[in-house]
Amino acid sequence: MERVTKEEVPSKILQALLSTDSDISVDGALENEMILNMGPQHPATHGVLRLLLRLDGETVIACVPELGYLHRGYEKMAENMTYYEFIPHTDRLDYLSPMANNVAWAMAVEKLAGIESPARAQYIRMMITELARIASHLVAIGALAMDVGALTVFLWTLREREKILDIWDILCGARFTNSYTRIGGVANDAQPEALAKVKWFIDQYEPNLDECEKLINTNRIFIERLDGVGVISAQDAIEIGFTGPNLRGSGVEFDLRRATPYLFYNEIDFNIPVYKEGDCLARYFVRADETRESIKIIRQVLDKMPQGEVLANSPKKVLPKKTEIYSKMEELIHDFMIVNFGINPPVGEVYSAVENPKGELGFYLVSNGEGRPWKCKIRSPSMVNLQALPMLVKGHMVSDVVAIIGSIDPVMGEADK
Amino acid sequence: MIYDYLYKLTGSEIWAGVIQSFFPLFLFILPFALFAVWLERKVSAHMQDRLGPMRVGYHGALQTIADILKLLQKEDIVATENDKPLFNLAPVIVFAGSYAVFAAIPFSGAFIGSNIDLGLFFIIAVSGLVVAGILMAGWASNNKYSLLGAMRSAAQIISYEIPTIIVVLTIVMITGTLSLYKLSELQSGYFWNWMIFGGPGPGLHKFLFIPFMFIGFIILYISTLAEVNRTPFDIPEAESELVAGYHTEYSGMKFAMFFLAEYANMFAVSAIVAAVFFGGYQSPFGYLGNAFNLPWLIPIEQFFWFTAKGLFFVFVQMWLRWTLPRLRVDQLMAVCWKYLIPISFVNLIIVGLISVL
Amino acid sequence: MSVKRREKDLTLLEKIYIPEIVKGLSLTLKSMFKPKFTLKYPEEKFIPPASYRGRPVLVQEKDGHERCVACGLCSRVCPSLAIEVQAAETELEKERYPEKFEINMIRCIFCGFCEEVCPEEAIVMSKDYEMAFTNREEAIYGKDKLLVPVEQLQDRIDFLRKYK
Repeated sequence: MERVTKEEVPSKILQALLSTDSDISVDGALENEMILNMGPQHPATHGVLRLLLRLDGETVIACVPELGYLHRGYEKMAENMTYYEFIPHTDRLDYLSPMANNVAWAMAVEKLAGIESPARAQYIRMMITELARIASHLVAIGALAMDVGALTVFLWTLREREKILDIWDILCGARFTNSYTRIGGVANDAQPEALAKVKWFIDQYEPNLDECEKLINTNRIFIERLDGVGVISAQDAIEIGFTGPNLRGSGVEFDLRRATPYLFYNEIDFNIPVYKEGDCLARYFVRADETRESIKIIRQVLDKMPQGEVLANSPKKVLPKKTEIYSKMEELIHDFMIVNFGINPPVGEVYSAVENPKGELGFYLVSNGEGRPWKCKIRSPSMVNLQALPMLVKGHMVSDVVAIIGSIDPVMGEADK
Repeated sequence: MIYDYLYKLTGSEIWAGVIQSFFPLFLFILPFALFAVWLERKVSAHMQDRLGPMRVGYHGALQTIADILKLLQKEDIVATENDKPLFNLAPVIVFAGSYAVFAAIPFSGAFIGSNIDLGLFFIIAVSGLVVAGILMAGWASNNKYSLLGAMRSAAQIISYEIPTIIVVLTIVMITGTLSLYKLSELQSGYFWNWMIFGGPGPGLHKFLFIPFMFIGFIILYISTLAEVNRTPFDIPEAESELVAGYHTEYSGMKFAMFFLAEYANMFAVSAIVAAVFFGGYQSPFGYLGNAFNLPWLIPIEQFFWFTAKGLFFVFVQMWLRWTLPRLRVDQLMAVCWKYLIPISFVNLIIVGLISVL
Repeated sequence: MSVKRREKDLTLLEKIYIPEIVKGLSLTLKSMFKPKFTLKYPEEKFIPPASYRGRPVLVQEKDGHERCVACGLCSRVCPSLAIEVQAAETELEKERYPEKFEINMIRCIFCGFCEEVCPEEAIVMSKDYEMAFTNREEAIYGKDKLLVPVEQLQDRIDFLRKYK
């Protein structure tokens, strides 16, 4: 691809906006139309997404999304630190569900290094991914409602999310940037009080969600705002690369938890909610239903969770237990070696993807046998999902643009990496 | 009347007029706006499982005063690309429009700013001035969001004036008066004499009127809600779409004037609803002043009842705002032209037929 | 489970707006009188659990010395490069001690990795979450601010031994 100089950028954007009818010049085209710059500080663009809209009155004729305002170069940063050190950075990808990212990263590195984490650790991972899914979807539901004007629903769903953050606080000591998983397991065993709190949460969650939904689900104003807005067909959704709830809202029953079962998802009984319509309302329904399925999964996970270790016994690759470091020489040496030189996975490459709340989060890792990844590629679902935006908003109104962004539920930390 | 009293006190027509015209501002609009802003924050907070302002004064009661003080101190930013005369004039016009409405509002039998015979007509006409101010603000800001907000606002307010006027016309047709004072006096006695319960006097008419009066009340309330840009009709300032609509570019005291005007307007339309359908300043169960033979108590009681009714409707406006999503522009127009206007017309015709019977 | 309906599926009653609005209003009114979720922070303090990862601190033994032997492992593992350690020799049994131990609290991300790799249980995460600085120099915590007597950290140390 050719390089674009700084001066060329505005004209490039204008060209893209005008590309639908290329026979008219800028002056002529803008006589009755205007270019509206939406974001990156707009209250409804969920972070720092910038949209350039070409409007005829209130109707959107063309849209160019501009990403990259939150680019921090995580893929390059990963090449300069050990696999272990990158764990806190995964918190900052999809910052609404850091636990799920932690799990995705740990699983990718384990696949690369050939480590099998113990069963209890895997069950804990399932529990926290599903909690992360609920936490993320609660924000998505609330933010969508807020974007169409029902602010109260947002506060109510955030109240529920707050309880999940409290659980995380007990479980791993941080509410937001959890950094809970480790290569080969999880940082610390789930304490009984944390598990008790999870149990309490799943018991009270559904009535509370019902209450939030009652406010909007049969409200004609809400439904009219979303019904038939931003429709994407199953074919288009697949072509663009939609994953997660957005794809399932278009009627494609694809879920990595079923398609390529990881952890112990093949032992768990759960449904994959699918809606055919492919509009904003369908995507909203999918998310609400998914949180209910997550509750079902957590309930089974709590029943099946075995006792035992939470870190794999693989001295060269997994940090030893704390009490052993204090007392045993060999563990002490391993501690120093792993921290200083990394875990040195064998030469090779691996792609590992999990079903994150936003869609398929994949890590493509290439190792040259050293402690640091030679290459790390992050396949972030938000970034891919956002590519559909120009197609979705075309012909709708400015108010719908806001609703469509809300229903796609992008997280810019992940989209910009 | 207040004017006569002031005239006796000062001995000058000019002073009496000036004092009387500032009366509602300092005695009512400012304290009300301060209270209403606080109430709005409290109501929204409590509906959302929050506490709202708690620090300044008891339960944050002085929060708005602190905010106003802050706004007064803020720099008054005028961007270079703004159309300065219009930009500076717009908040004044918006405020003047909503302030002028208070001239004809009957707070009590003894206190009406200007007891003109065309009270209702005056209110509807003067509140149209607000549209001009909003359009000026949106245009002069030279901001695309402001312009979109202003255009939406103009379209919305003008459309929704039609059902408002038709419903008011229905009432005028029955009562035969445009004077809010006379309208309120007509509904005196107990609450079953209110227009919402078919108006004064016995007879079959009264009972036939009741369902149509309810429909009329709902239409009037919805359309006045739209006229003051409250949710679900707050699209001119929809914060998730247009940032803040027509007042995006305003800061400091000019912003405060828009804010003040919005809350003053909220009370004004609530007052119209109360005056037209809910007996105006009349008490629902007779007066203590009559019971204890203290005639000076009656106007005070009337003032109390009027503000209580007005505040109740203001509270309902806030309540609706924190419950409902907002409509889209085209849906907003559809609600007005497809539902409210035809229904109010049919209502008008039926009420007319009943009163002829 | 609440009902999932599209516009065409709405019943007539739901279509005329008003009943649904009244239902919503009753819900919000009900929630006005529910107990509130807010923690009035400076008056009511959040009491962290033992697992809480607050400000990292150095463990001070009962005799007044720090446990740290200045191996520099925490400084090596720190993902945000917030820790600086300078070792020096000492007469004590541990032979080495940190002459200078600084944590830049602006850089610290409270991940707890320093604590996790420490071979001497010398640096642990405290429950302290109230940190505010007015300039950058203030944010660099030296040994004077970092040393905390071991009795105050017993909660966390027990947690580490039990669950980590």
